[in-house]
Amino acid sequence: MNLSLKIFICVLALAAVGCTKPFDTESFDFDKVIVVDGQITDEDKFHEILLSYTYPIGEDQESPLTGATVWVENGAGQRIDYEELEPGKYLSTISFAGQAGQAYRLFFTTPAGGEYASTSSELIPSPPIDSIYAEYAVLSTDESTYALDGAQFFIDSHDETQGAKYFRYEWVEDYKISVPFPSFYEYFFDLETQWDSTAARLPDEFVHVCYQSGTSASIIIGTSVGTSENRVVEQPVNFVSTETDRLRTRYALQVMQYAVNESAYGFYRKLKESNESTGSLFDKQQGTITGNILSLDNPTETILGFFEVAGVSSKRRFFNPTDIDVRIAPQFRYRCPSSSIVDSSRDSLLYYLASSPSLRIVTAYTPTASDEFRYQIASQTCSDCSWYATTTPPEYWEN
Amino acid sequence: MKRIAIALLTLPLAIALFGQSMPSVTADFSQANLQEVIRNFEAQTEHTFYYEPSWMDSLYFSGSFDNRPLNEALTAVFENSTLDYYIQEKNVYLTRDVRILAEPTILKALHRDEEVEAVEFEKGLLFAREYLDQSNDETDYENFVFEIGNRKNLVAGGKSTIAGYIKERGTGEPLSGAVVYTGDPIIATSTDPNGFYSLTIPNGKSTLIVQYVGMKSTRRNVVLFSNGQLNIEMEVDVIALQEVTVESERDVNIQNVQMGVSRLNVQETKNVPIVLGEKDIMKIATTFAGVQSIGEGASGFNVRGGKSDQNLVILNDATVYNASHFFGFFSVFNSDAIHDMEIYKSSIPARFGGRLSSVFDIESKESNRDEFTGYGGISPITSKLTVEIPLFDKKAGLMLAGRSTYSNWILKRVGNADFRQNRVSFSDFIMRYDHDLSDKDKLIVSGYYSKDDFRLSSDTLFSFSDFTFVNANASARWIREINTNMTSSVSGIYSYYNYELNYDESKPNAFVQDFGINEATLKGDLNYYIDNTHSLAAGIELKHIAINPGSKKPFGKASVVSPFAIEEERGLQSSVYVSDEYNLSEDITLYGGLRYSMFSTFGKQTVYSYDQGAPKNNDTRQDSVVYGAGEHIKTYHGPELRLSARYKLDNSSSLKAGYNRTRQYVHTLSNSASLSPTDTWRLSNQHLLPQIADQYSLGYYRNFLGNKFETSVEVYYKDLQNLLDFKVGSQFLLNPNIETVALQGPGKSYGVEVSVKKSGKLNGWVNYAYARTFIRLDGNSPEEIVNEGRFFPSNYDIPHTINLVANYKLTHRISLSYNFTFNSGRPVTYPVGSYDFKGIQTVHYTDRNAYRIPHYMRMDFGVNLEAGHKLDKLAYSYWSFSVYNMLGRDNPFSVFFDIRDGEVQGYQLIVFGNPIPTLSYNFKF
Repeated sequence: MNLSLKIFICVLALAAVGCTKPFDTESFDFDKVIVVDGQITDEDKFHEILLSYTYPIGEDQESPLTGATVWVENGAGQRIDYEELEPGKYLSTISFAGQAGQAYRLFFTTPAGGEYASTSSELIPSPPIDSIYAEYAVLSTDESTYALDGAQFFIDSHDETQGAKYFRYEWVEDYKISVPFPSFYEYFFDLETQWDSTAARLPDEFVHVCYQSGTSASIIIGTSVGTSENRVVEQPVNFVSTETDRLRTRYALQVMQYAVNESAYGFYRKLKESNESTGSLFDKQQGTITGNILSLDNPTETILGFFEVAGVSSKRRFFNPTDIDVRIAPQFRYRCPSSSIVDSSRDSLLYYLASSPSLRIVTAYTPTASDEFRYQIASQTCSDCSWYATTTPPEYWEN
Repeated sequence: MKRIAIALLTLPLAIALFGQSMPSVTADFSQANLQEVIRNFEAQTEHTFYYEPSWMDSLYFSGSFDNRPLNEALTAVFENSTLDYYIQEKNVYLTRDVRILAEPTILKALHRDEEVEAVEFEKGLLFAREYLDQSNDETDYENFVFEIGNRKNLVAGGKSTIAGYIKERGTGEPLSGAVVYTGDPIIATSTDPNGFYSLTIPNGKSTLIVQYVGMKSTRRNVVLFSNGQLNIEMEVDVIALQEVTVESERDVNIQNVQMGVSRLNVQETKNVPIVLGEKDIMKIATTFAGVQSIGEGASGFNVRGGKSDQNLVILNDATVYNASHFFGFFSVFNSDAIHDMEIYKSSIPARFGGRLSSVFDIESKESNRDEFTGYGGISPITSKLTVEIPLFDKKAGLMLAGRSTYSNWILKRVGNADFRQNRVSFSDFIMRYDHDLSDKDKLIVSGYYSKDDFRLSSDTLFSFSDFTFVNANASARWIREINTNMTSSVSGIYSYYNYELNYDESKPNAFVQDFGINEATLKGDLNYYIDNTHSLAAGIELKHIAINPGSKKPFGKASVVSPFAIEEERGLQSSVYVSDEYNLSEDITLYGGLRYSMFSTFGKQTVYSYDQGAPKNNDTRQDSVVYGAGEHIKTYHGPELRLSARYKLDNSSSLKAGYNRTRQYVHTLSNSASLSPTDTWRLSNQHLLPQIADQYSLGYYRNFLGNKFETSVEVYYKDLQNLLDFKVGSQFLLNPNIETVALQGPGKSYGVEVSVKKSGKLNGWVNYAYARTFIRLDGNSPEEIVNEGRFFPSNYDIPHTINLVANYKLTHRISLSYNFTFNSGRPVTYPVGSYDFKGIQTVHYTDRNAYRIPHYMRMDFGVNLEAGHKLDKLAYSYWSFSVYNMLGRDNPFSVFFDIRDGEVQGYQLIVFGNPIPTLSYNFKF
């Protein structure tokens, strides 16, 4: 309910300039503490625990906690050991699926001898996601000073057993890129002989259709508490603005729903509010946000992060932008107003293509049988996407 | 009265005083109105009586006369009244508080010398017409000699009490806080909120001097015979009207026993440069030493290191829970309808209680009784209109004031779709009705209503929210002057604050959420001016507070939100107080007050208990006890001692000391430095202890150059108990168990305030305050311990503040004004590390408030152009032009940290980064 006033104040002050300005901080203190990022789900896999230390602000390198002994115990007292695969990244030695109703507890000891444990949390199975859908929306976002339009993706779910009430969401998106001027020909140039040649691309060499993917980069939480019938309805998960071309051709969104307990939800809520508290008049008091990890030797030691035990369900859906809303018609990511036609004899192809490697041949043709080949050429940005995205579709892709 | 007086004075001196045959009367009266008695006498004696009928309104006589001479009968009839008579041939002149002696001047002169010796104690009093240079014209108030009391009751060498009302001429508005004094010996008093004063001085001749802000000082020559009444009207100082003037408050700072008190007359605010064209008494208040605001747009004030919910803001006795419109940009008080405001930072009189830090006692304007008046103003944001209507033959007056925004109109013109969906509007109405039931009884009914309405994009994704809040209150006060020394008042007060949040952007999740608080108060106060050494005050107050801490309901048919409500909270706050202001000697005045407050909460309520010694949270929750409706749950009570003393070092300087304790039983739940409109109030309960403050203060006051410069230095130290703070990331809205997020701990505040005021052509004030405030949160477990249990500066700890407000009267029509404000930066929590969690870079914070945001500095400039400065001109208008933040300095409101492109960057929120020019037009008709 934190009403954001930034924009309003600007209007009232008739000040066109932004109301938040970067501010140079002299220096930051540094508090080095342990951070736990761990999860056990009911998926059958090698589960992962990440252990690290906080690192100073302004520095980029992460600071893994290496050499720890990590294990998880379930309610029945069974112990699952973990081994360090990469610095700070611990993987279970066996592949397993967490059992619904079973409690799990994380333990680890550091090389310095500190002993730590999480509180014990029970695995709550996650109900299926009923539907994923999108609506046209105009939103103000952090990335932009003005409101952006685009598609807002929502999910609905419900749990008849009433077991799962609090959820955390992650998403994976994949989208198809289709260039405006597909390059069907390749150009070859031999430096020694100064001979150039062109050849039609084979279907498996096509560079005009590519795929890119992305993942959620914020904490998304939802709850069915306070609704009738334990439902999560119109839960926003992802917003894609038309400033990007992700919604230009075809878009697939997979949403993972993790059923967590109330204390995990509370932790994520606090973390989210702390991360996203950006300059309203009523900014909340910032402070340490601790999760469910405790030091067994020193109860006052601060341990950041959370050991999440969650059931997971997921759903994927494909979208064609026009199905969402006609207003969703993003431009291609590069400006591609036109292509050029060159004659191989009069305008030497060599002149164009050898001198500027960022041009591509879209197509080659002869207007009449007597004519020489003519080439339609376009910039690489408009005719080839293979240099920034993969041409191999994801395994599940359906066109 | 006037007509009779003139007639008498022109009587030939040589009228026969004796030898006139006196007629006799025979009559029997039982509780007969005096007018009836007089009519009876007139019929019997063929004498004609001359008098003012209103004098007889409440006078009755019982008794019988059997052939008694008229003069004896009249003496009997008027014995217990302030009336007197004078019989001249067949005319009988009745007078009030005046005795007519028709002795020849020659005799008067002869007697004078001898008698002066004999009755020295009466200060040379002999005859009614004492003063040689007296004026015969009673309208020449300053030179006329007023005879007070009944000469018959004169006690030679004794003292009598002179009492009455000080009012503004023309509007008839009572002037509260006006100083009334006599010069020799110096005996001073000040008027109460109704403009009533009472002064006990030696019988005989005296000169009363009356001073008041914005009014011409005036004097009255009096001859005091016995207890009597003298109402004094003051004229608006035409020059002073356009200025921020502190002139007539001169001397008050030296004389008054109270310290840490600031008076703000609305006239003063006229020239102070303002933002967005709204003159605002609350904003001006923040230019006083010790009253701080944490930034532009912040609602609430921090007084001497107090939290913003520790200020009691009352309008005509009714509590105002949210004193801000549109978050903090405007105060809810339309200054046109406000008469004055008194701010108590220390020496809080015993009649006030319920908040720790301060009292903002605001009194609305009383209607002009003489003529219909109206005035208004137009600024870029609001327009307003006030009318004053005299009613019932000047016995009553009605003041109505309204103000409204048209900002929606502006917003619609902003060419950005983003803003067009937003909506901001507010309006407020103030009403006050005064009725003189008799010359001793007064009824004041006042009402207030304000409403804010927004539609704002909220932080939650994909949503716009409608938000409305309403402040409303009403009060009725019956003031009775029991006798010249005693006044009583009985009031019934109701106040109400409510907000409603409506989210409808997502139909299935659409809801309406609300919060409300209302209080109903019954109170009685008694002021007893025993004599000029003691003045007593006592009273009792019963206040019922009911809170709806929050409820949520589905909105629309498609909504799946299930209704939810937190149990209503009920509390009864009762208090009694008694106080005495005691003038021990001319140099020493003492004030002692004791307030005893008691607070109880009642069911229906579910109260949980938690593991002993463990932090209160959902895991440690034990049992619950369900209390039935009306069932007593918990009571807190305690004395609140209020003491102050003044020692006058000489005529222009004094030393004061004070101690005061305050207790607070209602608290806002807020995790941000400034008050937010969604903050909720909660009552003290089994878990939430009352907050208690003890303040010790000391001050030195000195005036220079004939009071042209008033200076003061005040130091204070506050010891605070059970200050309320919260765990990081606490959720307040719809939280039924506030105790699981609340932290309470001790605090301390201390500081020095130095201030200089100047009056004259160039006038204004400059002050510096050094103020610190700390809190300690040292609970049982890590989640209840902040900064390792050490004292740390609170969010509103602003060590250095400098304010300068200056006005210069260039010509009669043009005045210039200038403001300067400097605040040192308030504390902020900086991150002390980054980490990655779930693929998201996150920042880590530890110690609260270890750093500070940059300093705040601002200059404003204003010009006032009068259309004409004659007050009685039919239409009177002025233009104000002001530039806020002249230097266009980027003053940060807050600093926050954000991670963009993998880097933690600090950002500052700047509210008004550019100079803001405003033109407004004000008029009066």
